[in-house]
Amino acid sequence: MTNPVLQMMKSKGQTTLGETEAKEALKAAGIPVNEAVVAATREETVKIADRLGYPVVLKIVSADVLHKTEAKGVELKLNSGEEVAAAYDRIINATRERYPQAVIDGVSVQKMIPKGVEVIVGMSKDAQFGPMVMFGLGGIFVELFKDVSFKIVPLTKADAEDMLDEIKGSALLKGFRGSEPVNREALVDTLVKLSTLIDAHPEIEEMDINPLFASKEGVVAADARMILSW
Amino acid sequence: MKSLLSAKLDEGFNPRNIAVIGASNTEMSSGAMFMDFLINSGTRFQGKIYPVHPKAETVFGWPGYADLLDIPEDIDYVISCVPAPLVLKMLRKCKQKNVKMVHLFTARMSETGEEQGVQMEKEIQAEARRLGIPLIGPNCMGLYNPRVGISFGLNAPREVGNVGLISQSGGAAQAYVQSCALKGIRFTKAISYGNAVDINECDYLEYFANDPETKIINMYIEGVRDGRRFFNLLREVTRVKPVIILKGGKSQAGTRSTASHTGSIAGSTDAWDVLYRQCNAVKAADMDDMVNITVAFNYLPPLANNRVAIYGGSGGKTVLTADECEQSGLNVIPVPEDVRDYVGQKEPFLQKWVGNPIDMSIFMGFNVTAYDVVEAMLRSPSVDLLIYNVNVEYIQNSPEGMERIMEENDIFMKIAAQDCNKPILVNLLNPELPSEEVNKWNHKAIFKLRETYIAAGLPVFSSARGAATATRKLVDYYRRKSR
Repeated sequence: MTNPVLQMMKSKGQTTLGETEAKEALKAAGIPVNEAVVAATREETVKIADRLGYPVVLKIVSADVLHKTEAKGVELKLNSGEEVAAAYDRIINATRERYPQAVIDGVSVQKMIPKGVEVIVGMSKDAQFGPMVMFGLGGIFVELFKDVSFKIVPLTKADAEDMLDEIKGSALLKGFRGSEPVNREALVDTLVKLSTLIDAHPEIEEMDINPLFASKEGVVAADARMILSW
Repeated sequence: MKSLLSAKLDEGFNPRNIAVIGASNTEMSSGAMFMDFLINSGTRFQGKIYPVHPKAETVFGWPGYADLLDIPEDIDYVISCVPAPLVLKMLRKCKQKNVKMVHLFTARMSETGEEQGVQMEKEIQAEARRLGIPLIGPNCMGLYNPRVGISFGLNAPREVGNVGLISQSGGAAQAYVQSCALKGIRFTKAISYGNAVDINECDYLEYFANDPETKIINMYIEGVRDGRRFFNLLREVTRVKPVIILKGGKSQAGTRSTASHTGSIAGSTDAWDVLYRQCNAVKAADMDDMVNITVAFNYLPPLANNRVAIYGGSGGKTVLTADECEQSGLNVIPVPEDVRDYVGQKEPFLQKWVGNPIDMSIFMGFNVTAYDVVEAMLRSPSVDLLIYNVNVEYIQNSPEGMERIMEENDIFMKIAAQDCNKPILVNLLNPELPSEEVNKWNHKAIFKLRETYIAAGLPVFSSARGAATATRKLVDYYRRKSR
């Protein structure tokens, strides 16, 4: 199974995939991603929001605006077309007011991800055993405690199950102090699909999905990057 | 997993005759060493031996031949002690004699790190494959096959067992076979494979996986040539039989600089640990550990649970045994109700007092013995195994003390002989001795005792930690295997 996005990258000779392209590749591999679509007008923004499903998040897209939140360039939890249209106007007006010189490309529309557990999924290559998939809790857990589990590709379903249980913070996935347990099936499925993608594409040198949000409903890749070698 | 190569190796491992090329009478030469092993080891080779010697001298009593081609019959197995530059020519002669397998003790190839040696190995590999002759080595001690009497040392047992050993190192293989022998472990075959230019660790692993006589596989490896194949194969093999791996050399080959987050964490992760767990291979921490784990797999049933009862005399030693068990993840259970009731019926006073570990001293003057409790524990459905601490101190102290231990020993042998379906693990300290004490009666008695247990089919360990960690690893293996 050849991944069409990676195929295209190969034809272009591109080796570094940023958020947008990496997410497209993951999406083609059957891994849920949080699509971010850029809209240039109010009408277009509403249309995209309708397509993605509510609630949505709008963010200003402008190379001149670095701190979007401070610039009032972010609107959360928008539940309808009317709310989206109004939020679009607020963002554009606030930006124009604060940064009169800024070139505004439009706004990005994303489906709002349900609150859940932030995890990291990655991949690296071992000199002896080849590609390995990594799974761990995101944020400070990975930074500070390196609370991760590795498996050599290809992963069985049981391997993926083991990864969830092997990390020290596995209790967080099962529901901790009143939080809801995450969808294990969806996490396991994502790990196995990622292994399948890696197995079919030895040109993938490195990959991070960070963060991947896991909740009761399922999982969503919120950011990703890949490094390829041809 | 059935493979043509495995069948071919089996043919090579069981030759009717052997030619030693470079055989010699010169002491300390390799040509003399291998003749010595074939003739004077416990496993003396039963077929014809043909020394090949430039002056056709008689070597170790066997008539010599100046050239392999002078030998009047086909040859099955060749041990090569010739210098590296002569190997290619020798291989072509082997083909003419229909040789089924060649062991290259011949060394000084890639291990020197010189380009010349690396190149030579490539040529040897290509030639061996072109000729279709499987090669063991180069740079190795080769084969130990007690069934036909091929050995890589003088002290290897002659009896055939059920363990297959694959070892990159010859010294490690020799030492390991001897350590195991003292614990009652015997081998189907052991192979020291060195540089493995032709047959490699995966081929041997596949061979032992296919070999119905081999029930347990041991590996000493420092690195693998084809990690992908090793991973896939190992995962298959452990579904059928346990593979215990001792990895030598902390290789830095797995680490490299990476840009990604995962990459930087991966650099500090031991990929071998990932492999063991994912493939359900049993990791041995060191050679002692590998011996203990092999003893466990050899003598114990496939335990699904690890609830342990402990028997021992002196308080401190049994307490420490219990601690070791707990630390290794075994479950030192409180005395089960059925055992407590049994004791209470005989001696109400002891009903609450009796504990696990079972302390023999509390039973003095009562109508129930510590051994009664041992038997009751072994009968209880809440107990999976029992560790028996032998009170070596008694033997060290006096002949009377030894008498007492021998009596206790008889009782335990009777208990073990009953069909209780629960294993008894013997913890018998291996005393370290000053040289002048080695031959004293009390130490000999301890060694004798060890042999008695082994003959009775009991697993013997030299420490509580050894017994506990090995048992834990066994339980983990069977649990994961049954998933």
